[in-house]
Amino acid sequence: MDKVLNITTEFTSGLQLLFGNVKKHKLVLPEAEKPWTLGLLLFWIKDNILVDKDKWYLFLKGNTVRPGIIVAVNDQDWELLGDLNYQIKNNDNITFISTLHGG
Amino acid sequence: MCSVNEEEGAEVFEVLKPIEPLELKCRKCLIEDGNVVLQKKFVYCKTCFMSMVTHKFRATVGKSKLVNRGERVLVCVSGSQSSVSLLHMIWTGLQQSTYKRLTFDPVVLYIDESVLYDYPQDQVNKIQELFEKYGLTYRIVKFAAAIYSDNCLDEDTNIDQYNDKLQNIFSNLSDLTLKEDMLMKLRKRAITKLAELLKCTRIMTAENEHKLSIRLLSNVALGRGSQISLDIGLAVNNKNNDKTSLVTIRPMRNLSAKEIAYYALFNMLEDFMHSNFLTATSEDESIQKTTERFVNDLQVDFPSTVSTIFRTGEKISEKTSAISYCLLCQGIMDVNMSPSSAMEATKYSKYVSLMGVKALKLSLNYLKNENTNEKKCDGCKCKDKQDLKEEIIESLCYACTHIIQDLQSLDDLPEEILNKHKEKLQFKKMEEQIKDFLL
Repeated sequence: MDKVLNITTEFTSGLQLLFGNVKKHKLVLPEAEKPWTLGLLLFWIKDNILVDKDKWYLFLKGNTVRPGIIVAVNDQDWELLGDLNYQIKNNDNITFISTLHGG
Repeated sequence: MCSVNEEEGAEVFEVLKPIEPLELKCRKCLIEDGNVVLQKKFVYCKTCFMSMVTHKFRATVGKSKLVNRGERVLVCVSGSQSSVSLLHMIWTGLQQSTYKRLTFDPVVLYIDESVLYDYPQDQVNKIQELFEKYGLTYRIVKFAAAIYSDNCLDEDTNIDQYNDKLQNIFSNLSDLTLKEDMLMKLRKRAITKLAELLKCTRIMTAENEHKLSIRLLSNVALGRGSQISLDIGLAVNNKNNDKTSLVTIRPMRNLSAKEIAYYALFNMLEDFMHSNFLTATSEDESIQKTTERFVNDLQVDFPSTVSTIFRTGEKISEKTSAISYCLLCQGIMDVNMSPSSAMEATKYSKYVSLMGVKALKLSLNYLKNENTNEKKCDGCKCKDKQDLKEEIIESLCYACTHIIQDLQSLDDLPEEILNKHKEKLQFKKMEEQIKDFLL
């Protein structure tokens, strides 16, 4: 975990509205003391790439995503990977899919 | 005492919530690693998941036995993930080898609602591109044209005027709940109209289980309880004749939102922005959004919430002996209810809250008269308008009266509604006139 991580995030099904209508984001996560987990990534996304900052509550709730948003890492359900505790690896593709009405 | 109980409760709760490690292998083939977890316990791999979803879809279409060979079916695609997946499923079905092939003739419809929200400019083009790729017959119609114009399949020169009318309606409605409700009803109207124009006898829409259970609960909250089966059922007959009537089929109704999300993800289907008035609004501003939060929050801890609501809702069936239908939403109206019905109770409670103590002294009917007298003002047109509004309200269902009451003018409503209303009035008048001659 001593190098920077290159990952891709995707926001679909309405979520892209919060990210300036851009679905795909290539991200470079800076070096950190603790290993990058999904839980940390969520807040990093909120602080760094969320465009509509006032509406962060449409993305997060408590310390996780809002109910109704599905998270997949490399096409695999995050429930299989330990939810927030999943350790992000290089070149991971993380997808956020909203199933909420109208996005 | 109380605190002891609470502690016990907490203990029990913790015991109930052990974090069992999930099986990592697919529960069906037991070979592949799982990709998707459904209802927090069922693990599927990609291949098994896809065949499961497709099977569910085909079963829902097949079970209805409503689509005949070669029948024209209007497939409504809004660009949302659900509808893009529906389109893909139908297309895949049409490519299958003979014995599994879907045999109907789909006409894909996209209603362009860009007047109402700001979509990216190239959205329509992108959707057209997508439709071209599938190679099915398709139509793209502007929302306003579908509602106001008689020949909406052709280019209409009055489109700007129609757009203004449509925007007027929605800017007149101040309440988010009503706005969304009105949008749903107008959309349904447009789809029905287009289906007739395109000579389709079946309509397919892409609502999933999730969306339908939210709609079920918010319908109850909105006072549309009697219309539930019309809004969520698999097949909805518009008229009594099965052969000629328009039937709405919702082939995705047995699929959860998550299943669809993964279907789209695995097939790399691109969805388009499909907003409505509730998009990115706070959860407390409308009944629909509040219901959605309620369902979603429950769903987190109790993964069978949605299916429970949905299965319960399915058992509600339509009243068969409906006499009158609402002008706006074509739903069943509660007429000739007994004095002790919920409808009358709501009416009475409204009068009491409007009139305060006075209501207790005066009878209901008297109040009605006084109310109308107050609203009349001499020498201007607003009297007529007010009258028209009140007349129309009488031929609307409970929920639709709220929409119309909030509207300032009725001029922007589709002409069909106003015409139908006039017809109805004349009919009533005639009935009144010949009343004495009837035996």
